[in-house]
Amino acid sequence: MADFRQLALEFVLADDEANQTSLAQQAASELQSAPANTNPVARWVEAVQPWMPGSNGDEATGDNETPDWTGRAKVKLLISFFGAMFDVDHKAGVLASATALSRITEMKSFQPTSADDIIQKICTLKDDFPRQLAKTRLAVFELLRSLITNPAVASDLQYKHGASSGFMNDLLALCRNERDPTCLMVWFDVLAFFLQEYEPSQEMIEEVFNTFKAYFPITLPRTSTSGITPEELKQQLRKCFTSTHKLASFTFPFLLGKLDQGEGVTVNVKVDILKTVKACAEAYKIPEQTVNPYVDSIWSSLKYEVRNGEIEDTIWATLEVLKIMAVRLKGDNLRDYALTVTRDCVNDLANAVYTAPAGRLLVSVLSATPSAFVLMASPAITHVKENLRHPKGPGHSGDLLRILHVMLETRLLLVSTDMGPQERSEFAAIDPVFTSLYDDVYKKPLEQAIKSEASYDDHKLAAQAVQGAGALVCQKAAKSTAVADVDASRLLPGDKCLAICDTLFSILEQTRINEDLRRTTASDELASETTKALQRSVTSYNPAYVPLVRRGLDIIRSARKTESSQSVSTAQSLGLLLAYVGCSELPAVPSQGLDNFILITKAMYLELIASIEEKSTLDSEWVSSIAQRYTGLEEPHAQPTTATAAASPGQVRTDFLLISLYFVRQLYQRATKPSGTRLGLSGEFGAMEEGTSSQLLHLLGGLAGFVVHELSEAEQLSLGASSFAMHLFHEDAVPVPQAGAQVEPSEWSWIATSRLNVLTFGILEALRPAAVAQLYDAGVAQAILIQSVTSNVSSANPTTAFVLRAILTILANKHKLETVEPVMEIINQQAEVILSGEADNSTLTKATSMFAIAAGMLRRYSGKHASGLLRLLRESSKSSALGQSLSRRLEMVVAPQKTLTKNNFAIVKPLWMQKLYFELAKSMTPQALGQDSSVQDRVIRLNLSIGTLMLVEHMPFSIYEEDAEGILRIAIFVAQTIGTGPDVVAALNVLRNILVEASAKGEPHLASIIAICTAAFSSKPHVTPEWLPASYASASVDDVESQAESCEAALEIMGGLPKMFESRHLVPSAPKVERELTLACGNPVRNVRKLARAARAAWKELR
Amino acid sequence: MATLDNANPTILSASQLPTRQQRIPLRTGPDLRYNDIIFEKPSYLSRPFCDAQVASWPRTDASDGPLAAEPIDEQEIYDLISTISDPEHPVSLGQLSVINLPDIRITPAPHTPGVGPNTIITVLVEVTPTITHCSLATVIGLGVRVRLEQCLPPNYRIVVRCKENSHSQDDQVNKQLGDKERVAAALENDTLKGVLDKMLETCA
Repeated sequence: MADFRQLALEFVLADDEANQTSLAQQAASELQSAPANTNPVARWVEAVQPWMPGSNGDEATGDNETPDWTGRAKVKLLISFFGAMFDVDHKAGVLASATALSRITEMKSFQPTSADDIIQKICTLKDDFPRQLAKTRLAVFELLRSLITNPAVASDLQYKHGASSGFMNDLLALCRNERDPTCLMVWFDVLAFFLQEYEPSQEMIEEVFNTFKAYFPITLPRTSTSGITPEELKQQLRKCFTSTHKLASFTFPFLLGKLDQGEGVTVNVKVDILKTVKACAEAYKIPEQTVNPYVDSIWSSLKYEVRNGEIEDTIWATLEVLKIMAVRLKGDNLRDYALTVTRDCVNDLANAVYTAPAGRLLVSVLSATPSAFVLMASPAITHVKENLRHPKGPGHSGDLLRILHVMLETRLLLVSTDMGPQERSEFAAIDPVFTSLYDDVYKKPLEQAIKSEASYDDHKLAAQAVQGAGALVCQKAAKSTAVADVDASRLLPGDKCLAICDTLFSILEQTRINEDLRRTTASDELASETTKALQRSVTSYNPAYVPLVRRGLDIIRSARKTESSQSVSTAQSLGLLLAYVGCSELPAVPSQGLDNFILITKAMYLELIASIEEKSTLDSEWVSSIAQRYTGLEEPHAQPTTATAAASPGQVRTDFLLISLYFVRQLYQRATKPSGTRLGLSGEFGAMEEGTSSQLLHLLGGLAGFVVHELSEAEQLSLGASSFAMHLFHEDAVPVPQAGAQVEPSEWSWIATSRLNVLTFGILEALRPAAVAQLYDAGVAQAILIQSVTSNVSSANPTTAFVLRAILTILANKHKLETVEPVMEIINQQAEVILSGEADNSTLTKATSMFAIAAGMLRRYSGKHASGLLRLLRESSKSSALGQSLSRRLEMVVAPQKTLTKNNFAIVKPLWMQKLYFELAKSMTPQALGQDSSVQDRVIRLNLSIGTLMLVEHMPFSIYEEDAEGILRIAIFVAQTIGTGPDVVAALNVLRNILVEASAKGEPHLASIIAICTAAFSSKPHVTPEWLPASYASASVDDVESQAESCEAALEIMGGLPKMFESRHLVPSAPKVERELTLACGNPVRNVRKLARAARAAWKELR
Repeated sequence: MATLDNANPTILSASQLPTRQQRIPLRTGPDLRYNDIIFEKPSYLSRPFCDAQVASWPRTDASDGPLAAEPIDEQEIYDLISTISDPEHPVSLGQLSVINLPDIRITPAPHTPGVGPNTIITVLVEVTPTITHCSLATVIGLGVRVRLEQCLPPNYRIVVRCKENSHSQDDQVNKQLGDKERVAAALENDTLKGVLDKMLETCA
């Protein structure tokens, strides 16, 4: 007997290949010649084992040994050898043997009869098997799988063991406690295959079932790193359950038993069970024997999952099971099942709480097959209708309608499935149930929704009903899927479809009308759903589109004729709707889509052309036309007749405005009288007291402004409202210049500089920018602007000057003045002149006019085109002669005015104030603070300071936040220098704003702030610095208003200080402040006393 | 809590208390709601768009505005002290009729010409205790006095008295309230100070 160990050692130590070959041949011949009972192969394996490079014995064998091992006898030998390993050397050899055997079983010369031996050998592992590593076990399982799933092996095993399948018993015993997920994946595969392909006895089946049922419901440990998902594992186990229909008697009771365990079953488990039940019901053959016996128990177990269920996942899984049962059952079995379901569910339809679940149950079963639908649809619909007649509430009706809708959608799907002739005729037999549905069910809620007083619930219900109605229009007749005639293939007759589409359109029309007044989420939903339903219906039944377009156009047309303000939005929304309904989807006959497109496009085009060409009733002949229509307007004592009574509210409004304008015209003509081509006030005003006459003129202008304001832009233009401002309704006496004509500025100075400019102002204030542009076209606006900045337009009445300023502001704001070159040139020139210091009496007036123009222009922000004007604003405060007055007037540029509000059609850009601050105050602040060496004169610095404060006073803190520190110092400087008066009021207001927003900035200046505030409200006379010209002195004693205002601002600041600052900053000055506050409690103005008392209380609490 | 001196006083509702009357009460009906817009003074006639007081607009009476000069009158004194809380009940002295407008007198009368900030003005307030044996009459009087001292300028002299025959010991109470030394001493008393602070909490 050869010593294999020695041979192996020599083989390893051998240097050349020839030597190695001879050693190998020697070993091979030893193996061949050795007697069988000496087990030479085992000894050889033991000998080569220590020299193996890897753990794979099979590879080593192949590498080292050249002899042909593929012979049948040898394979058998190998099998018995490796098989023996399971018995002998467990630790080291199981994995190697299993791998080796796997290779062997794949060999050509492997004989299926050996499989049984291998299985037997594996079974000898017995209790040692669970102790092996998972990797080792996996190799064994894979070996088993490759054997059992091998068809040749299978037939051999079945031949040997017969139905009892004894080998399986051993395997089951061996693998009973397997827990590794990877191994289980293979093991379940083996079991499923065994059940599916072998024909084991019922006892064996039960045995196997007991094995895998123990794993159900299966989960994966969270720490598992196998790379297998829980879902894969569940599916693999499910495969065992579904492997053969013979399991039916075990699986269904077992699974239902698990399900009925009650509270302990988690959602995941429940879903797993339901999916398994579904898979079984789907997979088992001969359903009448396997599924049918359990239908009742499954139904009675599962219906509560839906009826009382709350978790959507479970409900869905349950519905799937119920549906698959209906799919599997046929004939009487299906009839019985359908009957049971129907019987159980229809009662619930009467209960508002259970209606929705009952509907889901019904739909899940009846949607399974056409046969189920035929059996259940009719009784279900009958019950739904019955309950709709006596609903328990709006929610109940909604649920019932939803059930009907889903049934209609189901029918739509089922009708196009393949059906035999018998089935199809049965399907057609229940068509009458559906044809009557519109009149019986949908008509009522839809008509309710059309009513203007429809409630939230009505809308909610109708939103559900329109979906059903839309689905109803789309229904095809059961019999004629093959019929080419599209018309005959529909379930409903054409006129019914038309009626439904018409009703749907009416609902949309009603929701559109209600849109602004009573929009709710329900009406929004109704509108969207109705639009969808209508689109669907029209796509399905194309002839409905033409009447819809016709109706839509009628509405657009009548809206255009009556209510001018609504007509645009009506045309817009209906145009969108009709386009969506007709052209968003190609119908079954594609050319119809194109027809629709042409129809709607052409109609809208013609409508647009018609509305463009339609002549406005408002034109320059309005006076005669209104006087004609309302005869008697002209005769003072005649009763005005409304011969051609206005038809619509829109018409009434237009006429109301025209009649008002007629009277405005009369009043204007009465108040003015022409002399040449100019106008003057009529003589009656001479006798009037000035205040009264001013007020009268202002009221007249206000009335004209009101009427003009109410006119739309188009109306203002077509009436020529801009010309009213020029001729003040004396169109015969004052010719309005043609566009582009040369206008001499002095010709039109009377409009701006006489007292009747209030009348012009009233109209101008209400004109829209487009109408103001006409004034520029005529050249009159330019004339007024040039006249006011070039000549001294002083008037006897100061009011005239103020009105002129307002007119200039409007003209500069409502038109792009910077594009009018000649005017801009003159303005820039004048700015230079004013700045050059040639100050005479008229310069101040001119400069003020420039400021008024700037106020209008800068609201639009167009500073870069008016550099001269901006420079004037920036530099005016430096003028030694006019600086004082002009710096105070800077406030005009920023202060809010009614004329410049959006309501008066002024153009106000969002960030104009920020830009203005940047352009003006930003450069003035350092100069006012003396940081600019070129400006050192104290009076000029004071002017700049006042100017800055006047600008900043009307701005929110955030704009000047960056420079708040400097502005705070400016405010203190102004308040310290000047006594009470408007300048100090501005300074205190700015100071208060800064302290409120950023009180920390005031801390370094606290002493000064207290001093100036105390000075402002104390009665002591202000000591003016010597360098200050007398004109800057405190406001006169009788300027009670500004005195009281500065007292109020100062006391508000004083009252706030104790809240803003820690008491240690205030305590030193407290006694003096309290003394002053006590005195302020005797201020003559009541509100000041109140503030003083509050401040006194706040200071008293300091200690 | 100790038994109240007067457990069930008569309380006036807020609408029954005297208030400052509008000089010209304007009706505000639906027909008048556009008055403000129609008769508004035009913006071009207000600062900063006009730079002088102009006569070309009918002048509204300047004394109507919120910034008009109005001397301190009885109603103002009433407003200052009627909101003091009663030490016993959670209602104000005005509501209990302890303070009454006719019992406040200012000398010289508010609109007397020639009254300057240096003229000594005397304010006499007579309190009416709710019952004749009210033990808190002194405290109430003291509260009124403290409140007025905090609110009035230095040229005002304050006299607080019990109304004649309204209290069984009115001369005693009046003596206490009129004695500067005793008033000062009372204000040093922490308990009394607490009671007074509580009473004055409700004053705006």
